[in-house]
Amino acid sequence: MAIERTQAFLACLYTDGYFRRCFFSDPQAVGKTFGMSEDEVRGLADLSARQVNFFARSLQRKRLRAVQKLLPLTSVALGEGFSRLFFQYLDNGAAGGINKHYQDAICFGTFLRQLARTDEVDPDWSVDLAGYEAAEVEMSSPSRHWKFCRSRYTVDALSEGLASGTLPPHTRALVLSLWWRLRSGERVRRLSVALPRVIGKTGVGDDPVEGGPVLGVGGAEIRRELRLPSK
Amino acid sequence: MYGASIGQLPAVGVGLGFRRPYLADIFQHRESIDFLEIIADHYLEPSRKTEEELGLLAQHFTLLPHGLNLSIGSAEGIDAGYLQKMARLVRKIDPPWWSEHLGFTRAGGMHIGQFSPLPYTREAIEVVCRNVDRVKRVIDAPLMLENITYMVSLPMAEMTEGDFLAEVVERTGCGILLDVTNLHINAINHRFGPQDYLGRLPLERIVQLHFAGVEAQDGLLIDSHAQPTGPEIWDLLQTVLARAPVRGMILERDENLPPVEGLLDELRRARDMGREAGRWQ
Repeated sequence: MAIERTQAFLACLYTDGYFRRCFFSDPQAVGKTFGMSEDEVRGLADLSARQVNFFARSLQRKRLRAVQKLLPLTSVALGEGFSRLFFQYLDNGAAGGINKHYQDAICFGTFLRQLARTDEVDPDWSVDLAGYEAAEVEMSSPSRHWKFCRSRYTVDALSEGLASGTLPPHTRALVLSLWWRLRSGERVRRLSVALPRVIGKTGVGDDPVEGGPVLGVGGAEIRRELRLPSK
Repeated sequence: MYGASIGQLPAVGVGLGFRRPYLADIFQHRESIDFLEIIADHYLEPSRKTEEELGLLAQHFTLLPHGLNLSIGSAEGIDAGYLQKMARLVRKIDPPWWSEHLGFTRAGGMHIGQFSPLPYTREAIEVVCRNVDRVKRVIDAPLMLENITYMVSLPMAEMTEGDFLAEVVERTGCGILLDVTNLHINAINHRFGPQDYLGRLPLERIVQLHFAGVEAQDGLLIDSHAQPTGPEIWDLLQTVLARAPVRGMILERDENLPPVEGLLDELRRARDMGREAGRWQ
């Protein structure tokens, strides 16, 4: 059916930047790859590139706003860099589905982790914060029973600091976080353990700390910092 | 039988699109809000907390579910899983009607993420009719179809948008959820007269209205739902209320949320308009 093909074509045009650029530079060639007749392509070639690009951009902005709400602290941490990186993520092929915004948040966290290897994300700890917030997004699905996340920084401290509007003190440490719920729909619990590792002075006004495991428990937070005697 | 029930639908008055930040305000000002429109998709796979929220709202308000992802215009058909979940929700809250958008959000295995306009063609009408038939076999409550804003004018049109909507609702028996703000936006962006559009519609099928503020972006109007309702929208509302037997109106506000009193003022104004037009007491 022609309309089915047309709709699939339009869906591609609206959501795929590369496809869109190719179509408007050579409509017949791109239309042919879609199995369209010359007449069909001629009709679609009358589409206004300005209108299509405007719509495509509005779709991207909508996804950006939705993901900023799902990763609010990462958005604060990255500042203007958040939208630049998010549009880069969309250009690389983004999530689909009804729960696309949730998928976008999760996939964007993965995307940032990949980018971090090339030092394109500043501050570096925002990558770990994004992974942490994305894990919380995953666990917001009532059917999800557990999630494990590994961070390079004390993400609890980062979260608390950003949430209170301050530059968060943070330490480079291997933090292992586990979220779980025993039954679908139940409240989520979280346990975070920071394994001791001193890289150097980090954060504002921090002295290097050599400490034992730091426990963070979702709900009633229990923190124990074990300080070793100085040498 | 489906079409006949449109004429028997109750007047519900003026309400709000439910948004969680206003949960406490809504209960505090219950007497100023006649009903609520809920985003159906938020309740299709509810957590325990969301179920409780739905139960609480349903206890105190008439709820009208408004879907986002049925994609009634998709040539590849309705998503069976989504339809079943919507049916379950409608059965649970037993609304006088429910609504979706006359467009498509899904095609070729891709989710577009926004309502996209259908080509105004005979073939597209057949697609919508077929999909609505399928929906009606599963969901008993009357369905209202909403006009969407569209940035892209598809070049293969065989008729106007107004004619398209008119034929769809005549053939399917659906009612119209006329988004007056969307009508205004499309009229400005695509340079047609809103009165001409209204002139094409079977006005007796306009059951519900949406209204909201508009914003300009890059030289075009957009339905940001982020501003107070402007004078052009109020004028258009008055025109529609005078001519169509509207049963309910919903104010939509999603972003740039003001104190609730600002919204209540708009509801009061809309209610007075409807009362003057004889739509409710």
